Amino acid sequence: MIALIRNEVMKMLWKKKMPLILGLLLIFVSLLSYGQNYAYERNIEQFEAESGTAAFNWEGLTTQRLSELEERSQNEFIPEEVRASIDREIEQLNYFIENDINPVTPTAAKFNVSFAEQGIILFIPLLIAILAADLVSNEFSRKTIKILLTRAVPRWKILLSKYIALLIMTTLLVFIIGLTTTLVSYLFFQEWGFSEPIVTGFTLFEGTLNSDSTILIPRYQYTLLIYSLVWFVSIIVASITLLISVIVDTSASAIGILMAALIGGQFLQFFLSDWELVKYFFVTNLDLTRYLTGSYQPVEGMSLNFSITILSVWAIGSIAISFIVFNRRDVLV
Amino acid sequence: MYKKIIWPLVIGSAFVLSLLFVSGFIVSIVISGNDDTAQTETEMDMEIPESEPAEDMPPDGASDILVLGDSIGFGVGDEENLGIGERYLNLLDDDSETGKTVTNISVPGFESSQLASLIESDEYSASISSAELIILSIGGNDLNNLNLEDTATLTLAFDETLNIYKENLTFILSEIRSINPDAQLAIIGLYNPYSDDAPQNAPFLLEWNHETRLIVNSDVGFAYIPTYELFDYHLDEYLSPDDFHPNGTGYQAIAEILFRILN
Repeated sequence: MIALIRNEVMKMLWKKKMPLILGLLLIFVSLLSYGQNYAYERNIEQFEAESGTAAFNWEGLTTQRLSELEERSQNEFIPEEVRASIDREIEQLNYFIENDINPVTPTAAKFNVSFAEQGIILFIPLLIAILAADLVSNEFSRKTIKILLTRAVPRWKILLSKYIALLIMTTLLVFIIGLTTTLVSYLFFQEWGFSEPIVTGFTLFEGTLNSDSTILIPRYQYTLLIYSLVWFVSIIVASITLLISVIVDTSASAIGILMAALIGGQFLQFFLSDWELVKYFFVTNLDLTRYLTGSYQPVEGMSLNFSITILSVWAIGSIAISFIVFNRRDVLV
Repeated sequence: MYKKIIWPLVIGSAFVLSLLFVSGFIVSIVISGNDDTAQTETEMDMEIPESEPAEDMPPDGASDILVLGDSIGFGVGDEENLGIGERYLNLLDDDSETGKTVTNISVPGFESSQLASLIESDEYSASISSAELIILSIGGNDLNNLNLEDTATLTLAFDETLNIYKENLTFILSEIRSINPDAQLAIIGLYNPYSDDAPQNAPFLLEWNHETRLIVNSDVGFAYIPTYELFDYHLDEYLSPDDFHPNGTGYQAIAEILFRILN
């Protein structure tokens, strides 16, 4: 079994796909971080030109905001839980002032999180699809499936080894995405920013976003949390791609079908947002990171737990169907 | 040789990373909270403040000036942290020692709908009913939160927001009136902090102020305090460094015009 998995991992590693995925990733990450850095410098320049002062004085603005918050926190008419969330913001701003960090400076830690947030709906699933789409279908189109199936191993073992190999590669790929975004953006920004505090832990309360139970955690922990969610989503997408790959004969159509599902799902979400069934579609639930950042419009009945459940059901369903189909499929020469 | 190294490397790192990701995943679920526990926790929290103001209220309830509304009412940007209420009181005290007090229950960032539900909740009924003068500043956040994309959608969105605001304002005013039939009300109009950058948006603001004024004029005890003209020619002097809220001088100007209108 381990030999089988090893064989599958090696197949994936030595094909041209890995350089292709890494190349795509590098190009996008470099472009995005260059763009962000450029925009940031332009903003500062513009601000300085407008205000006429020599240097952009973020400290003044931050201190002012801080003193306002402190004033508010002392107001006895403010409910206790609101005060707690104000206190957390005070703590965050204090960190920035004490460590002499401008809160809006782009840093590598901020960039890798925002890349994951933006990419989790389309770009990262797409990379996973490139990785997974030809897993089975390629064996069919190149007729190598016969050689595989003539071995004295049951069919389910072959598919299982392929699936495990895919999980291993997906895990590595998520790590590589995180690593690349961090390193490349550091080259542009020259700031790590991994120990800055950030607010997270938003909850839904009576249909509105609630910041009362938020907590303050350092950026590196936050990055880890975000990438854990990306990892989960990637595994779900990999499982669904496996199903498509088992059903269709060529890897091109496998990628095509997955792309259509991803993009079509976004359209569905956009046009039919009132329709109850849309929230049970897997694409609608891919955007898990928004539950941590708190930057979303609450949809009735949708929460992190709900999305995770729906995605798990889709993945388990896909794996089950894949195994059934693969076991029963007639292989014609 | 190379192939021999890479396999243990791949499997080992994949294993370690999976462990890391699984633990991170579980932590995310815990942080983002099971909705039920979050709800009960917040409900418990909510009960405490409800009883607290009721006990604290009577001594404070005797305050004469009540400031309600958003960040302008709160006094965001004022270097001396006085706000309109305190500055107005200082102007009154110049004339004669009054011994009056100011209560400020404004919440920065409040929109008219939030103020409406705050007033509906009866939490501050005691403060409202005992106040002599109620200074109200609301609507700025309603208008400022409009997403301005192009003229057509902006006009539509503006009309909708304005209608909601009008309903809320009417509700707030009638509710305050039913709690306290005698108090003098002063509604602070909006000024345009962006008049230099976006002069094309000025008509919207003027229409907004006009509608506010029409609603305010429905009762003799209501006064509309115009700030648009006041700020239009003194934007640099009156705005705080955030380019949105007034600074101390700006608040002083509003308090002075309030004083002139009411006395």
